[in-house]
Amino acid sequence: MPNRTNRILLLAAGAMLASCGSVPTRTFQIRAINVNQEPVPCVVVINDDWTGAAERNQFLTPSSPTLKLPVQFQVPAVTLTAAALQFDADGKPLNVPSSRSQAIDFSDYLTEVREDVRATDPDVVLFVLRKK
Amino acid sequence: MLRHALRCSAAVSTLTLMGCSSALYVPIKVDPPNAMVYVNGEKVGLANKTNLKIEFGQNERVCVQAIAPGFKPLCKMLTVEDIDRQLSTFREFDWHLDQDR
Repeated sequence: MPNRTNRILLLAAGAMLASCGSVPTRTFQIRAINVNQEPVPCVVVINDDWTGAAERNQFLTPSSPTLKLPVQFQVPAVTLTAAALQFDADGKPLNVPSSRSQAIDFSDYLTEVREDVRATDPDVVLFVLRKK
Repeated sequence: MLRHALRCSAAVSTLTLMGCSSALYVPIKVDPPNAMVYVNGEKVGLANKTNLKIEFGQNERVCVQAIAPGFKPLCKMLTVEDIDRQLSTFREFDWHLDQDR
């Protein structure tokens, strides 16, 4: 019996340690529009990780204009970038950029960079993209 | 001294309450007046409205955006303290959007 109690205590301590050491994650709802308030399909990038954004399909598409984006806060604030994309008839993105400079070359829109996004910020992040 | 302490604590509780759940009604003027205002990503109306309802919920900041065709969009992240400071000095927010070329 004491053996079992010890095991439970150990498990509880482990769970507590794990919860203390875990990285806080927040899921934002991302939308993007232009100044005429029309939805703009785009890729959303966390901390300039353009490759990761493509791999994880962080896209706002013509058929799905809201993206639920989990963001890990290893530091108090992150940078989110939205870059407009074009999609083919099947809904697949054309020319996914691998850098911010490439993103501007591939699109009619400028990228929007939102710095200092915090875990305590509102759920919805609305990007407003401007034409080049 | 005691009165001062009580006044300070009342001010802090008001701010705390505002930060937790209450709505603030904030006068915001935007030039051009046909600019559309969004609060936390939701459209709340034209900028010529007298007071905009701003709710913090559990968040530390709110995002206020103003958008008009032909102008550069504006995006402000505001805390309760930012709003309080602005209103106590200027009684309103007065924003001018820059023309987009």
